[in-house]
Amino acid sequence: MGKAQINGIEIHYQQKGEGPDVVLVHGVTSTMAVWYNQVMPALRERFRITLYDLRGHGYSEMTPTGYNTDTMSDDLLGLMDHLKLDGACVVGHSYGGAIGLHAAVKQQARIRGLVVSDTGVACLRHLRNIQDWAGWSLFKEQLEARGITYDQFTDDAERIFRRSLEIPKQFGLRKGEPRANKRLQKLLDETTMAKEFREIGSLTEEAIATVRIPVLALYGDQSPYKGLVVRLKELLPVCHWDVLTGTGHFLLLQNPDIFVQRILAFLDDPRRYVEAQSRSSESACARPEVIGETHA
Amino acid sequence: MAVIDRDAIKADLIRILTELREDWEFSGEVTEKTGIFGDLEFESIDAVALGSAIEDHYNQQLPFAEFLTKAGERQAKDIYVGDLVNFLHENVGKR
Repeated sequence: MGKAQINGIEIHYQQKGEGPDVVLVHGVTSTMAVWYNQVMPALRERFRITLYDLRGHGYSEMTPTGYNTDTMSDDLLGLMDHLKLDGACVVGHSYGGAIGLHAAVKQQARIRGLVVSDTGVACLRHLRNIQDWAGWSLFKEQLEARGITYDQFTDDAERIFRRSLEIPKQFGLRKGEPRANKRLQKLLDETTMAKEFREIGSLTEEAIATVRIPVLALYGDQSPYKGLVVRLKELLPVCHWDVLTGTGHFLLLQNPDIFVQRILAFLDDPRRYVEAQSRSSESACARPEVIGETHA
Repeated sequence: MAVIDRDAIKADLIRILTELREDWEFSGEVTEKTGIFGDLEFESIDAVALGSAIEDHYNQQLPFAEFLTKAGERQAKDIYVGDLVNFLHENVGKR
């Protein structure tokens, strides 16, 4: 277990395996543990994996502020400085993908390839459909009974996060048990995470369009975020997208074998992978609503 | 690497657990029947830290993912210290 002073705070990280560098970035209200089911064990056979806990999460320091992608991408780049990682691939799930994307906007020469796994990006929020979110279906009746409409609910990110803690764990041995714990509660009570989560800052569509590194965008066909994938493809010149059938937001937990297969193929040689996928689907113009479609 | 005696592994594991969780609220004695989630109130990240500390201690990569998959298949709701001791006894020293 390693801890390092990064960007003025203590960040908890681990490194596993040997080979070309890959950095795994988890999403908000999660920890590096999310990679431990099958992803990290499969990747560490061929790569040196760096995992870390985002600020305020896991064993990393909790700060009152600093939860937008601007600051958190500085954390990522700072960790890469500390560990002397250049030419690493970055794999980010959910908000972790937005952090990776913001890091690529700032210093793309240092990132060999980027995987965004069911990532929501604040500037593309209008393309998300929260009615596909598990929590909306769970709380819809209660909320509507209190006169709270879908639009009112989705305007309040903090309320969504607090409600999401009421959703039982959906994966692992403790499936069905409460998801809330003291640390997550503290993150919501004592930090600005829920407010900063939706800040666009400098991660605009124009900024995203400057990214020239290869990007693999993996989304679940039952995810609220799947609507973003076509726009990401339009913005990113070297991008292959893939919508995995029968999965929601947590594709790396719901369909780990396919998730690992897809990212291993990309990580070996990101540029060649995207170019090869592009050649094999030159006429591709289908939208991801066509379940299971895969296109460069 | 020589296979290590089960009692020695159990002593190692309890020492590593104690070092990791100095601030835990569990005040009883840690035995083979102690559940790391139910009794020690571990979260997933604590289990990750435990796994890493064990690998560091034995200087060996261990198949924790396989262990957890098997626990899931038998619909286990917790991981008990005794389960971990058995797992380590089977795997520590084997390359």
